[in-house]
Amino acid sequence: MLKLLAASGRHGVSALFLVLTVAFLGGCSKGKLSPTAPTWDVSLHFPLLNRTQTLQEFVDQNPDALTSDPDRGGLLIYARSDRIGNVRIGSDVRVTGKSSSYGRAIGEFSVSTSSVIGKLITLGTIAPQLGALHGLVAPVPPFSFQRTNVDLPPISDYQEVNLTSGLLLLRVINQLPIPIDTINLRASDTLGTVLTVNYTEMIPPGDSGEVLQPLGGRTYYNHFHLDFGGHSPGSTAPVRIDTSEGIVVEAQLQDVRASYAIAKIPSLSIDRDTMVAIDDSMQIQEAEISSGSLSYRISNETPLPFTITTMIPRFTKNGVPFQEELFVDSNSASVKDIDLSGWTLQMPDGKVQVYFIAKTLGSGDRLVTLSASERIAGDVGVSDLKFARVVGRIKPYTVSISTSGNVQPNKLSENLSGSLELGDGKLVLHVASSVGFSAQISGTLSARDETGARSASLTVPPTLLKPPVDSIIFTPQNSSLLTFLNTFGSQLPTSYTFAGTATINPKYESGSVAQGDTAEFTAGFLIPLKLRIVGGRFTDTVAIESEIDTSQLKNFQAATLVLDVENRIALRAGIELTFTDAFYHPLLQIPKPGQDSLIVEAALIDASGFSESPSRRTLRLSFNKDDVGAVRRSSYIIYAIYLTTTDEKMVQFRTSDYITLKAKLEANVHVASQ
Amino acid sequence: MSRHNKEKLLLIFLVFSCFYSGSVPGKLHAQVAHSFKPMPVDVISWGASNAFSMSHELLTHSYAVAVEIPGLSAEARSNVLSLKLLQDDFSKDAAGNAPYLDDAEKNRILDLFSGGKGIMQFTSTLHVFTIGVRISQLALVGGVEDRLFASVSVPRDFPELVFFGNAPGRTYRIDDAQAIDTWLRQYSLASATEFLLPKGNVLRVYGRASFLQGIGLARVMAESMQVFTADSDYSIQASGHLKMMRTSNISFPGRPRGFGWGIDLLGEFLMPNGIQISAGVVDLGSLTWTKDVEGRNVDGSFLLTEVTSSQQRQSFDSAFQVSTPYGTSSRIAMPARLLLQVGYYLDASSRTRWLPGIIGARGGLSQTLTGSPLIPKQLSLYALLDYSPASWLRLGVGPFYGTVGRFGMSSLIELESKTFHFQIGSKNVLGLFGLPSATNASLVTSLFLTF
Repeated sequence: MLKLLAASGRHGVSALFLVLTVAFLGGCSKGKLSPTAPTWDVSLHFPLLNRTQTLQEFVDQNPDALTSDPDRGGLLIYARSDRIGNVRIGSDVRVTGKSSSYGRAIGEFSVSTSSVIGKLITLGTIAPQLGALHGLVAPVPPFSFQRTNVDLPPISDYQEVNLTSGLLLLRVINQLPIPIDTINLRASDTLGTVLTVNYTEMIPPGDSGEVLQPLGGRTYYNHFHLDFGGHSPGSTAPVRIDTSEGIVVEAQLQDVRASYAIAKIPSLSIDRDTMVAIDDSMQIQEAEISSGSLSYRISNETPLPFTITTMIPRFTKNGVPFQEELFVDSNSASVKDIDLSGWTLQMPDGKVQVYFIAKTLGSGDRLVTLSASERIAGDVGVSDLKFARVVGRIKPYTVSISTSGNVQPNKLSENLSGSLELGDGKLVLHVASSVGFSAQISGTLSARDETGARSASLTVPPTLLKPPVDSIIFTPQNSSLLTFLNTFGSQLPTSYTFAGTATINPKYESGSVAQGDTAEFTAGFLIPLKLRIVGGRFTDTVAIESEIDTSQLKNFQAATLVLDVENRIALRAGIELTFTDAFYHPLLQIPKPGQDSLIVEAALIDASGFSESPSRRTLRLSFNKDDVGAVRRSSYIIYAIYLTTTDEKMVQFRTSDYITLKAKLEANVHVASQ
Repeated sequence: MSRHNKEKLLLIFLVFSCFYSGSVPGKLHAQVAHSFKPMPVDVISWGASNAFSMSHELLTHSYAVAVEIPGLSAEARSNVLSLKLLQDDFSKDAAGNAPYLDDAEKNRILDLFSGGKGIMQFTSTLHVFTIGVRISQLALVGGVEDRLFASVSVPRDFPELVFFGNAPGRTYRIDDAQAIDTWLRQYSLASATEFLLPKGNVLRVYGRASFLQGIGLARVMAESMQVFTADSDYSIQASGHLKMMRTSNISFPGRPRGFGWGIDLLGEFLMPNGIQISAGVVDLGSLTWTKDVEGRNVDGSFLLTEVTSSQQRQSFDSAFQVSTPYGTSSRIAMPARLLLQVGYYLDASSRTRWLPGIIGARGGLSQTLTGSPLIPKQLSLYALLDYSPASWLRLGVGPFYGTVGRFGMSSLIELESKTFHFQIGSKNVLGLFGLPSATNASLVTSLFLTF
């Protein structure tokens, strides 16, 4: 209170009052007054601990080691997951290279037909009788032409052509001042008559008449001979007669298709596609090629130069199909190699389609000899392809597996000794695979403890595992699991090895696989804590925390520690505490000789080994001043917990099991000013 | 002060009084029934203020003017603290060792907390200036006084908790614990008159109105503080609400931080047969602190269920929060008291030949009326045997009992001449002279001159 008063104001009159009063009274007294604070002993009562620890909290605090089964009344389950290791199983997916040839003959081709040839047949030639009237203007009597033979000039577009089809156009142009009619003529080359024409219609002066005659079936040369005749009705009206005027006969080939020619060849284009079968067992929807190449050779057997474009739509890069353009000169060949790394392949039927277009601009004004059987040909080859990733259906393949790993032993295993027998359990071999195919795993799972003194193995039968995560479950019923587990007792394995094989896609199904795909193996223990402990002893040493100021104990004269324990766990537990100095020399042992042992009986259990009702005990521990001094000087506490199952039966635990510990301290403390 | 010095001081007073005795007006024995020297109005019966004493002198004598010489009165009371306690339990022994309190000694200390509380209080009055005049039958007195109140009040549970520890199942309540210091200045104007009633009765009426200035205040109140230890698990539950208040920057002669008013009323009824009855109420009023008053609150509660829990230990440190200072005001009631006194006086010389002068006896009480924080609620009772062998001298002695302060022996000496009026008294003179068992001591003086 004085402290509060002093804090509330500077003048502190109350304090002054007290001082004055003491001084006043003391000054008036005969007795000498030397003010000081008295000393006394006080009995303090502290709550040290009041805690109920359920096994559910224990589970929550150890999520990596414990879990529970709510469907079995919260049955406590020791759950531990140990990673064994992983192996790479996606590195050998490939297809064997194949090659194929393809080609195409040119076939019927066109020939240039731009040339028009013609010949003038004069009036003087066909009607010599009118020669006397030359230069006069006079009526012209009807007359018949005198037959005339003339040679047409040669056609420059070709020298020789074997026509499969074509047309010959003959045009008769009347340049006379009188009409003509009943024109008949015969055209022939060196091989004979080409055509015979009787044109009966009248052709007025200045007009023309045409005849289109199909050709084909033989070879034609470029020289034609005409046998020309006809008639004119004359003119009753006087006309100017010029005998140098006449009739022009013109000839032109049209729409010529040839199988052979010595001719000028116009531009032409041919195309071709073919399928190259690579591996019909690999039905690849999509694959990313990690290595491989494509090569092709194109030969041109014609006298014409070609530009050849090759397209392979199923090879793509960045979404763009493969396309290459190659110039191949007349009667020559070209070769091209393509690196396919990074290309994407689609091959759902195991084949690759190759497509090319060959184009030429023709021979121009040059006459070339060309036959329909002459070819554009090619060879295309795909080397062995390795895939970084494949989606589709691949052939089964088998890889060897060997992986091992060490795990840290947990504290419970390290510090618990005695005989521990497990009555149930489950081991789950988890396989997490990044391969998109199922895999058939078989082999042996071996384990050993830290020293190697204890080892055991489990046979893993061939088991089909589905991606991405599947597991093989070992139970006491389908394997020798209990033998495996109890080989280790309270010391679970610290080292695992799994050796065996994995057959990828054993059912030849569709899926996916990548070069870096792995399978990770994990051993998971799920052990319902149905166990029997005989002579279990858990020991550990803890340092007395620096934050606990044991100097506060120096005024303790004596103390009594009262422990109220309620145990509903099916374990009988005893505890021993040894306080030691920094060199682990014992300073105080609890319980002291002659004191009650610190044992809490196990809860009563039912036939299944579950606790039914708790046991209770109150313990009182008295400490004198020397004991308190020993605690003050202590640096470490070594504690040992003795655990035994009731009547050495198999017991089980539920998350609702608990232990309640109330600790309270009655301390006699000496109060003295410093 | 040695006994030798005390005796010398008393001798000086006596000689001084005798020197002036010849000039005392010889009217006392010539008056009517109430011609007995009016005894009651003195430093014992009416407290530390001299305004009514001066008024009385002006009314009952023919003085025109009275002036007080500045003086100091002080009183300390406690129901716990005694010199013996300090010597036995709070003083080193001959070897220089601190005393050890065994259970018997601790219980002896606790037994001193009568009424459940341990109280220590101190009051003092500095009579700065007082002057009075008589106008006909009306006496007017004006004055200035500086008054100091200090008290500490602690419930018994607190020392019991400290001495014996926290007994399981027991709740220790430290509610209403308080410490307060107050310094105030009182400007007052008093008036008094007397009425001659039929049958020789006399009624005198006194009144005083005061203007109060608050100079300094410091106060701590534990409105509620409890500590409980559960029997089952020894869990400790503590809660508390404290208020702290103070005025800042106190300096002499003081700057007003609050204002208030005060009223004192008193009536005296004197009968010709020597019976005197007095009644009054003093220190009615209140003082409101408004300037530079800084308040703080301390609130908190705590439940300790595990000493071993570092979390609980850490939360204990922050369980009680002290608020930031805030400006506030506070109204504090003055320590109003009801005064009653009945006395009987007679002329001894007319009854006996061997005893001259006037002799009388009186008894009275003083009861606090309101719950003023300045003085804890208390009752004081006294009886006094007065004897005035001569007109210049009056002596008084008698027992005193206070609920705070316990027993004592009151004493009074009054020396009076025509111009010189001196009173010195104590409610427990034994405490002044170092009686080890004394739990109170007081010294009240009054010296004024009349003309």
